[in-house]
Amino acid sequence: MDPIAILFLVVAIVVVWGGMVASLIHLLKNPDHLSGEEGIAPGPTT
Amino acid sequence: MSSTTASPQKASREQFAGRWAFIFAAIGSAVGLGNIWRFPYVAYENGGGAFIVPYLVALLTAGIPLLFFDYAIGHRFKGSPPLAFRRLSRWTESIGWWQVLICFVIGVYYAAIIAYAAMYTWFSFDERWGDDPEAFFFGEYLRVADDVAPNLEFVPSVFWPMLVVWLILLVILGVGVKKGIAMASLIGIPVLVVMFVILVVVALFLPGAPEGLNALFTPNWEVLTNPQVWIAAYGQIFFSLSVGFGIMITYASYLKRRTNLTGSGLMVGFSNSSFEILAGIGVFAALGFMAQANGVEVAEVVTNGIGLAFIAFPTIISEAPAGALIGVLFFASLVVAGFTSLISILEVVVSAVKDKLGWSRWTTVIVVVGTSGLISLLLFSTTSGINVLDVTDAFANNFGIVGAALVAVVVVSWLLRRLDNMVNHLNAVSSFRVGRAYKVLVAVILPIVLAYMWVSDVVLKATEGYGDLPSWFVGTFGWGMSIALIVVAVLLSLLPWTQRSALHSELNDNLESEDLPEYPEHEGTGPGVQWDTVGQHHHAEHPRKGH
Repeated sequence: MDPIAILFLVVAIVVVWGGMVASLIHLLKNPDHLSGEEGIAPGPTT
Repeated sequence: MSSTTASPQKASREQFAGRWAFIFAAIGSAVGLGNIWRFPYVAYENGGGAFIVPYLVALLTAGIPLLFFDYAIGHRFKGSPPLAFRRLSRWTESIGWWQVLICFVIGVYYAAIIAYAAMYTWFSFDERWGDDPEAFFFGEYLRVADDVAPNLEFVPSVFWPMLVVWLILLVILGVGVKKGIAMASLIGIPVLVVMFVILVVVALFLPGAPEGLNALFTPNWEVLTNPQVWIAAYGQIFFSLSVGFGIMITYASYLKRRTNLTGSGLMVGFSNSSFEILAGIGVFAALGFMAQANGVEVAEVVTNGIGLAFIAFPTIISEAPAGALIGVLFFASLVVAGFTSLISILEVVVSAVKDKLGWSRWTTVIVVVGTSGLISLLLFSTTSGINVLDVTDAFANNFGIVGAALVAVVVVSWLLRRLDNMVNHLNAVSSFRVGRAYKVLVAVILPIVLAYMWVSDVVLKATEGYGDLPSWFVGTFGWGMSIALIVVAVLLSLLPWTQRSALHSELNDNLESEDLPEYPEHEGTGPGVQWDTVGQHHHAEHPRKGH
């Protein structure tokens, strides 16, 4: 593979799959009953 | 605080067991045929590696905002699209029915594609297509008639697998949200991911795979100044995410009141795109092999849709080492991805009929799936089926989905001016806050993008027709069908909601639960709904801490 193609393969994976992992971590840190303005703890964390 | 407590007079709506059941079901809906056979081609045609820029912009500025938009309507108003829009405002119920009818049309032809893929999974073992996959597909398999007019010459190898698809659907939808819909995705999505990862690994070891990946990922920055590339990115995100035609409204209506909506939505949006990237790698590695095996450039073998699945891939399977394995993994992935999407598409119709008529789930499913299956088999398991499929697919997606989504965002944002209330609802229960930027995206950016997509497609089809098909055929199954959906949607919205209907018999605990004061009914909205007080209500009942 050409270096530029490898670079963009890596960029696509890191950005999109990284976004999925970040979303997963965010979700795990914010259970339903604690989320949002109705949460019993401060809701927004991002 | 219970979110499921019913009042003595009213029943609780069906619910997902938890947010992961919902997230898997939503991913199962979003990850479909488009991820596998559309995204790789669109990315390749629109800048290769550089496409990641408009693609991400489209995901963040249109896909995820529209996902949140659907979640807010479905979750707040706890109903299928007609019920949710009816509770939003009395006169917007027809928008919901329009979305339901689009799902009905897509559902009846989607089952045919799953049937093709199921048969090709079987054909992969002995490479039934021989030396000419194209002639086999249209000739020996589909037996496409010379005359495009619909006929009743059934093709057994299409009819029987389609019948099985409809029977499985009947059972899954019949057993309900928890045991059927959620369970199908909780099992299906991990199976799909495992199969596709193995497929990608096998494809990466094929000779020529690096050339395929070069073709997909080498960036062409010049195309980013072309507006069509940006529209292609928005189109891909839009069609891929299952947004704008009622599915996410329906699924969100099955969530308990306290559900982290935006946090879940981010997970669904990025998971769908992650699978698309994986599909791009697998498909282009395989196309790279096909190009090398035939001594041509990758550009000459690149294709999408039915051509990719049923002509290019059989060619690859015949020529590749471990071809049968590749075939089984690829076509079984199409079956699983398609099935979890088809379940969500048909559930919109089931949910709408069930809400409006107040029938039991099994009665509704037998009537809806039975009727849909009958029409599906009559239209698409015959020698004329593929042409009807081609036209209805093109019009249901562009005229239907884009049109209905455009009307929904414009009506909610500008005519009813309920966007502030929707934002309040999302922020009341969600961890990822939305605010002014979100409102600009939904009220300004989305209508512009959707209007451009809709108008340009309508103008193109009106001036140039569609494909090589005769105008009467496109006029009937394309334009005629599209306009008929709107007319029927308006007529259905005029039917009264009986006392047995979900509007009157189901509890909406967002609005009427025991620990919340009931909103007064007022003219122009459904019972118990008063958007204007939503924000104040949340603040009064649950004062924010730390703000």
